[in-house]
Amino acid sequence: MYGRVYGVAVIGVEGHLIRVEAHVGRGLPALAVAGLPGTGVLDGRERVRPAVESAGLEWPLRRVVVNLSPANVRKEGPGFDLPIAMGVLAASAQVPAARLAGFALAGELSLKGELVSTPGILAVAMAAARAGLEGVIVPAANAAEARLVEGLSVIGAATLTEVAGFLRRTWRPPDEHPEQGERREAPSPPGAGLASVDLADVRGQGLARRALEIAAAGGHNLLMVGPPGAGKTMLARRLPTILPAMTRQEALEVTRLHSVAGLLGGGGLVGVRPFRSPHHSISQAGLLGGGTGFVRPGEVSLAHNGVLFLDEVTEFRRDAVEGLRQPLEDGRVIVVRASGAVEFPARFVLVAASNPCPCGFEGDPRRSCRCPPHRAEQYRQRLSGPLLDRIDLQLSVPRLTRGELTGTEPGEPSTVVRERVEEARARQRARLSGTPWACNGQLPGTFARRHTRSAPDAEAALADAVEGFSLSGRGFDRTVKVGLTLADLEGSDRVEVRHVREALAFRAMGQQQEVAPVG
Amino acid sequence: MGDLARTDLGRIGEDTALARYLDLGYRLVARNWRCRLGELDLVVSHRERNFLVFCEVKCRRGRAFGEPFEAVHHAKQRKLRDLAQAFLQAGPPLADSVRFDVASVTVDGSGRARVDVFEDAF
Repeated sequence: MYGRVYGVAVIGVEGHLIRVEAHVGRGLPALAVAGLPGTGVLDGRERVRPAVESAGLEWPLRRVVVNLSPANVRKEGPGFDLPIAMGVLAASAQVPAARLAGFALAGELSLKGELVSTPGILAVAMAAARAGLEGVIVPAANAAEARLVEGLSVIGAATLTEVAGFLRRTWRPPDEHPEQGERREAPSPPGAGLASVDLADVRGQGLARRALEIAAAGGHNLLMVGPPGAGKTMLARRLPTILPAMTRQEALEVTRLHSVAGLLGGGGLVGVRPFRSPHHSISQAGLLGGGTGFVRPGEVSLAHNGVLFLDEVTEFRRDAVEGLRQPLEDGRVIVVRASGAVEFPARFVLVAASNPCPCGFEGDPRRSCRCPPHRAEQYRQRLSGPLLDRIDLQLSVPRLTRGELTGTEPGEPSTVVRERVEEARARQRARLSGTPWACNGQLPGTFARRHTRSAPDAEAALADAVEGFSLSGRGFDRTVKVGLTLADLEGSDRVEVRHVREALAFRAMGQQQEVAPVG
Repeated sequence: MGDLARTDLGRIGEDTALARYLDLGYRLVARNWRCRLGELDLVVSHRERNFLVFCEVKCRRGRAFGEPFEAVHHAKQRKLRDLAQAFLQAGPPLADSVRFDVASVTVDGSGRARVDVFEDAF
């Protein structure tokens, strides 16, 4: 008595089709699972039988052996409850096996026989489509995300009884053939989920607003240094509202990551660029991805295609911050385990914020800093190094004066700024078509140097900066990249001297001597 | 049936299981065979095929404490293998191969017995 169905093991964000075989044979009644089941899969052993019985189906009083093939891949997650249950029902001839062959199954079961919302269903659906299957049978709560995959029949069922009914052709899902328009649901405009947040809320802070716009336009990482209460967090939160709208492909990537992390909450496509602001006590695994057994995406991946905000960046654990290097360079993070490496996309705009010194008031005109000089120096040193090397824009955010605070003049709204950002991005896309990069912030230094057209006086200004202000090689590259973005924002094909000067002004931290304007 | 003694219940179970084996064409080889290791409930052999069946009979009055067969756990299975070996060594060669069954018998309030025989149980 043999049955076979398809399940999907999700490793990282990739689904892998798994054959779930069930054999009902001689021996004392028991359920054995072979084929490298992870703890989450083994855990499901205790759920499957009560679920089958609750659904009014019969659990065979025989020895049941389930095999997950190929056996060399460790299978994780609760999504195997449903394929194991259906494999057993197929092996005991309670559902027709023929119809099962075209579907991949995934879903966690409750003891009552309900299909519970399960993480990673979008990855399951993508794997099923890639394998050329007809469709997927998934919890009704996850049907919306599975429908994002085109050309796949999605059966969203709320109970095991419904799944059995579907296979026996006695039950049909209510929305088996949704409108085409629903399938091709466009990403909602950026800011839709952040309706309460707008750049117009920010008073004053002209330089910081400018920096946000440049960061958005070129995809540059940003560091803000300023005393408590200057509005660093408020500014950072508004960056996603001026980033360009996500393409469908980008939105799918975000949706898949959030699905795997179990953050989707039943919705379909995520249309809003993510904003993640982990607390500084976060572990390396929490930031970069990891966990026992099932490897979960970290904050860097949850921020993919969006903004990762590290407030009080100096307070973060050294190993966690050091680990940001790989995602900042490659746009992905690889978590290496004894069992193999797992890769997650992690391309985000980094916004870091810090106080200028431990007490927070160094350089404040109205309040004096109480820190011993060596403590303040130590504090600044925590900021330097590999992370700072990858931050193109660095600026001071002063506290607002009373006049700025009480002024009623509203700032420019996000929609207006975003239009300029979109235009600058369009110029970059056109220029960078055929390269693996989409915006200036992603460019390697050598490429940026070689392919940037600069006015002669702009080149001279850069050369002056190298000599006069000991601009480092990396600092040079960053200045070129920011200059490029400034030119793009202006619609200029050439980097002019004013672009270079403005770019140099955003080099505040670490090398104080570079702050002075180039003359 | 509340006054049914444990030994009586055990015998009812064994009788019920034996009746099932006889119906299926087996013949009794030994019943309640004892040695210092313990006791084998039933030993039967098939008339045509050349193998012995060692059957452990578990009998309960209800399912309140689970199915009777659930009491045949790993330690008991190992003990039954040892017992079977002792049985085979004690007498003349009887068969080429052996099989272990568990007969799970439930007796209801009116004394009716229901038997499930799990062939080749371990």
